[in-house]
Amino acid sequence: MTVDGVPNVRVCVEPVREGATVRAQNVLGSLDRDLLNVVDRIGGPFTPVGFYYRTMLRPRRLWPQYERVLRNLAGLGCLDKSGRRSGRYDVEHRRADVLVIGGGEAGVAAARAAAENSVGSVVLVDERAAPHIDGVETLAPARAIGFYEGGLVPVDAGNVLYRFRAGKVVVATGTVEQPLLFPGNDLVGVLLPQAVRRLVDDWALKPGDRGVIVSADGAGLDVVEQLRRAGVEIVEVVDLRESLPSTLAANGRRGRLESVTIEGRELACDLLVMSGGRQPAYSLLAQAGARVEYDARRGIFVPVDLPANVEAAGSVTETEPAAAPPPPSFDGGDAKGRCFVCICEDVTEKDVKRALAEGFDSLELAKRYTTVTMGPCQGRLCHLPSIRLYARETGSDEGAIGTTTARPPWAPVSLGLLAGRGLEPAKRTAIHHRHVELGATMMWTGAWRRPHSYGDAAGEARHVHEALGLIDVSTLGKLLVEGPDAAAFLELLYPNRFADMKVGRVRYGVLGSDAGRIMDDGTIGRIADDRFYVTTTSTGADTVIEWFDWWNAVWGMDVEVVNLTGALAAVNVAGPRSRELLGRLTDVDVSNEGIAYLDTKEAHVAGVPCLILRIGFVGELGYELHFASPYGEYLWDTLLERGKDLGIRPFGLEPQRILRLEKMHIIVGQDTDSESNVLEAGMPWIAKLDKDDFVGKWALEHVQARGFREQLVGFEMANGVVPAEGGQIVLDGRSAGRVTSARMSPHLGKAIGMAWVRPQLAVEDARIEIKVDGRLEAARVRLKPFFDPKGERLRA
Amino acid sequence: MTGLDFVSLDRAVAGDGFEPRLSSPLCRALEGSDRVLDLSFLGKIEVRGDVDAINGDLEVVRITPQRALVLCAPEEAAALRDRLPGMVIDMTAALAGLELHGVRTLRRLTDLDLDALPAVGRVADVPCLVLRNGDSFRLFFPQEYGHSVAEVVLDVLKGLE
Amino acid sequence: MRDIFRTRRMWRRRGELKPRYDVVVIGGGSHGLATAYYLAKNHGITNVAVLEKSYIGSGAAGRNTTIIRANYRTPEGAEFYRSSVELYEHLSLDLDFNLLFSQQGHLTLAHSDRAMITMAERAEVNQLLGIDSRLVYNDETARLCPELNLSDDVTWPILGALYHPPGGIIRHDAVVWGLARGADRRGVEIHPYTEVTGIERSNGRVTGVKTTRGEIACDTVISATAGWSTLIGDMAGVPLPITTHILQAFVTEPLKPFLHVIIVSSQMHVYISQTDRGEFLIGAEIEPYTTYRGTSTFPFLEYSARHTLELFPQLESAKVLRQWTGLCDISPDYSPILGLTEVDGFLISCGWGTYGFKAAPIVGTTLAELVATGRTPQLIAPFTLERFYTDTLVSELAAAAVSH
Repeated sequence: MTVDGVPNVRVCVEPVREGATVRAQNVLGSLDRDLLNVVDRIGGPFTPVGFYYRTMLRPRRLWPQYERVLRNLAGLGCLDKSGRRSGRYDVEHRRADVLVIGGGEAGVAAARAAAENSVGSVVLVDERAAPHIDGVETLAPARAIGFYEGGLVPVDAGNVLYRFRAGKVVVATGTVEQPLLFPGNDLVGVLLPQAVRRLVDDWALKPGDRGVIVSADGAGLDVVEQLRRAGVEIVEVVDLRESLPSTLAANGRRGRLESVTIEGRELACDLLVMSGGRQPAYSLLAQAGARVEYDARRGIFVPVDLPANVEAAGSVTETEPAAAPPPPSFDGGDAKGRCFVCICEDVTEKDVKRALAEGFDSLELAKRYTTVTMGPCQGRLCHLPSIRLYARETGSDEGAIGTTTARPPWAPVSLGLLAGRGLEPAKRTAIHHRHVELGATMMWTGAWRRPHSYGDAAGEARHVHEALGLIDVSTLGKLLVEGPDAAAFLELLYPNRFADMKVGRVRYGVLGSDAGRIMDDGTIGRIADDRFYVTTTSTGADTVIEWFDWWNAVWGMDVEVVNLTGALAAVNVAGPRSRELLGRLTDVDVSNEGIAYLDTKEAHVAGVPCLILRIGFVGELGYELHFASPYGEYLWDTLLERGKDLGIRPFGLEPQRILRLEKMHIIVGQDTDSESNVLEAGMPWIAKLDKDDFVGKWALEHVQARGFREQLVGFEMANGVVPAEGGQIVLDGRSAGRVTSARMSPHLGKAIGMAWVRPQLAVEDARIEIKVDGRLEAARVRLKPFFDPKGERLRA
Repeated sequence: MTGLDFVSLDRAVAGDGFEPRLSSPLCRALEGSDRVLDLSFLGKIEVRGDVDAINGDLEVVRITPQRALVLCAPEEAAALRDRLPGMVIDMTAALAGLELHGVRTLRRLTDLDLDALPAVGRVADVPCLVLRNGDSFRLFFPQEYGHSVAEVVLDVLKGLE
Repeated sequence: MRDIFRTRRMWRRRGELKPRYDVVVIGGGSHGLATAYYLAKNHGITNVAVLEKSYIGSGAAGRNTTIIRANYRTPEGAEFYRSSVELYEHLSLDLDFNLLFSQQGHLTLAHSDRAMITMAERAEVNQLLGIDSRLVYNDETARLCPELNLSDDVTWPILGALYHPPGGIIRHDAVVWGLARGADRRGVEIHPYTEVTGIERSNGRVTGVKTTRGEIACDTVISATAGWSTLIGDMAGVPLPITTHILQAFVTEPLKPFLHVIIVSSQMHVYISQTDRGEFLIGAEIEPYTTYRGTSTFPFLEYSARHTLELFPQLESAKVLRQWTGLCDISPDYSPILGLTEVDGFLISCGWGTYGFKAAPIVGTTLAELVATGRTPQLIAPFTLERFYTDTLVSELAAAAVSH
């Protein structure tokens, strides 16, 4: 049934709420006049197991239509297409000394004993209402979902998911009553004892007028009294432990029970209570690591060899024989009803026999072919009966067949509850809110939120060339490498050389993997003899830090690596007027002699101590300021305010990409992939192959020896069309390379880009063709930066 | 300037028309809420090396056998940096912090064992150091996640009302 | 039509092992059975035994998310999987067994501009090879999947998607059964519950295999054992650059048709489709740790549920019925390793990661051709084991250590 839009609710156990809307599901019309019945009716001979696999094969073009019909027949409840998140779920992490699952007699006794022995905190979880016990916290209605790694037991308590880790778990989940297999066992009016108890005790309903009881254990007989009290006339009671009828069948009309035939005697009735014995609900124990073994004496599977800290209590583990194993199925004589093994999945005894005869002769294969146990009851009612049937039909025994894996979750659990509050953490820079206030479009780069632009990417890029721009680069990874071996450590890590670097200088470095592949890039400044300041890409920071720590542990050098990524904010003040602005804010000499290109210096800027790095990712005179992050907003505000008359303007990530592309500066992960190396990426000067050793050296030597297979180059479009990033270079109709970056440069008035091409095309001015929107567009290869190829602007 | 002044909060200088001011990564998220206390400016000095040699009446949190975090009032940070043994790094700016009350609140934020604190684990899906004093908890986590964490904390508090 | 009411055995009962076969295939999954099937069908090589340590299809073939597609990043990969999709399209008729191949279309979502570049690259590579694959923006995505939450009010807003109309899902068990039946009818012997314990070699070539049911002599052994490939490789003295990780998935209870296209988000590590049975089948990215232990974890359910609801909030009340785990054999470049090894007569199909099931028929045809002719077919030449020694990797990874 569908309740308040939630599909597949078992209304027999769902408490009634005022105002709840209940609708029948998976019927056309009403339940009494269900049009889908027609399918069922003709389905008898018409849809044997495996039916779909053998039909609707020809003609192939009609299959999509067949499929649509199939899909519409499948499934149970309906989803509300316009449904939204309710936002009412939360997660709570709990610990307990003893966690008792199941609030029946045994569970209550176990909880009480634990509380009386004062073992610490005791929690009892029950699906229905559990009684109050002194010293025990009761969670009800609540359901253990499964038993997971590290002893995690998640509990579904409606709106809250409790994740329990307990010192000891007591499983008192009891048993599940098993149905009997006979023709007509799906008719309305055929019930298990538990359902009778619920109807009579909980809802004070009379389940029928005339009842027949067929039971393999005491449970079925126990309801006789209850039924009598409810006013049901008991027509016949069959105790299978005493007599085994040769035939048994239920007969009905329009899906409702009208009579039961036992050994040829037809007894009119509208209620048939059946009980095929009780199977211990061992799933949680099995998930916890218990072995499941067949107990031939009682005809059921029992959990054995429980792991430490897990106990079973009550009927889930009791050893007294309470039932005689019933026959796997009853012969129905000439009864017309179908004998169901699995009600959820509509699988009959005939289907199972057929599957076995076809060669699906192991339990796992037959399960997948017939789909027995794969429905919403998760095999509670069909697992044991189907194993009994396989055993009889294959002439083996239940013990040899064994069970299928008790896969979690033990109880169906909603995605909403599992998802919890569903907030994903995001990294924000210290200046984040200023960008939002300035109207920036924010975007993701890795886990960071960053400004794409402040509304005019092209204008912002041009402004950096012409006047003055300011960008928040706090997302850069920032590492301190300190200690007597600091220089030697970096020498080994990077292909670059650092030993000859003077204090106060900065160098561009590319980090390589042991296979010589480009991992990351950034700048390395020597700020003291034994102290280096290393920046990484925004998204590569965590990997690089791990990489540094890893090698530091391997080599055991006298070096400490400190992650300062979050501790420091950073901005880049860039453009021809940046020197003038910096001069207004600091006492140090900012002239070309005071702070030259690729110099680094510590100084107060607007009263805040900063590490100044003069570098030029965007191709203009510029200074990166790195400083303690809580000063982020202050320094950002001050720079904008004091630079107002110089025309200062913030710029986002998109303009920065245009600017760096004009300089042919790569972005790792965009212009490079997992196979790129510095040699083929056009940066041979990075790799100092004359060094004794560095990570990935052998691989780069190999690349040099084997020759280049592809090279990273720049290109300029002939007709000003900007190709897609990821676009293909085409040679003779086949791929001969790919575009990694492409932009219109507002400053140069050209469509430019970078691409990997075959070595024969990696020649200045070579003509290449790039596929753009299905057409081939001509371009020329460029090997030098598009803008300021000599770097005069940077050194100015 | 010497050393790593640019990492610390207490080396800024007012004057020449400049009035450096600090802002906490949590201030916007926590605006208008009095249920949690912002500890972001509390001094947090990391010590690497012989942490047993740390002496004096200090709050020392051991992270590993060779690493500790010393918590102090903001104005004590400078003096501590000078006198603590081993390699000393001022992590005040790196870690945002907040203080809140209630075991139930913490249970909804972290799977750490609240009876085995201090410990490092995940709080609101973010790496975090958690300290406990009775019913009161202090959390320290990367400042770049500060806003996210504060949002989740307030959401949890709302859910428990 | 009458045939469907007749009970016919799918395959013969398992018999005794013969002392000698021409070819022994280790692994009764989709690759092993497909190879045996095409050996018999295309080349008349029928003295073949398929050895399976459990029941057929018990490994990755029965645990994958059943997605078939060809929209790969590298030209080598795309060309290879294109052939596989073409074979799959005709496989039902070929096997006379309806595999319920539902070519409902496949949308790979992009939530960042970096992902958009990767999608564009794949679309361009695919189009050059004639594969129906293109970049679509949210207006078209909304038409293709009106149920998808395209609003900005989520953690990871959708910027665009790679649309691949021929992509589909299939009944994975049926593929296994159909191939097994086809192979069996052509004389191939299938031996379930027969575990290989050793591979015999002499002078650098294979001479036989040891099993839990006795020894077999043979000249050719093909390992199609996915997550267990390195163990089999070790038996043959062939070290493989493979690590084994687990991949998890779950299904919900069956619901009425709701979703008519396959949705993949690599940013959120989630694959979502609705099967013909009505279940939502939801899978994830491989777990980052290596293990052979196939237990399911709870955090997987939690993050997959969270991500699924970001895309489809309507599923909030849908219930998870079952979760499971499979083993994935991950290669360094996320491309497969296929064909000959340094040990004569020992052939491999491994390194599939999460892509193995999609390749079953093309692996079968090409490996069968290789066995029959002794020559490596052009289509699989880029995927030799040798490439790790010659540094000619075929990277399906867009960026270092980021899979898609």
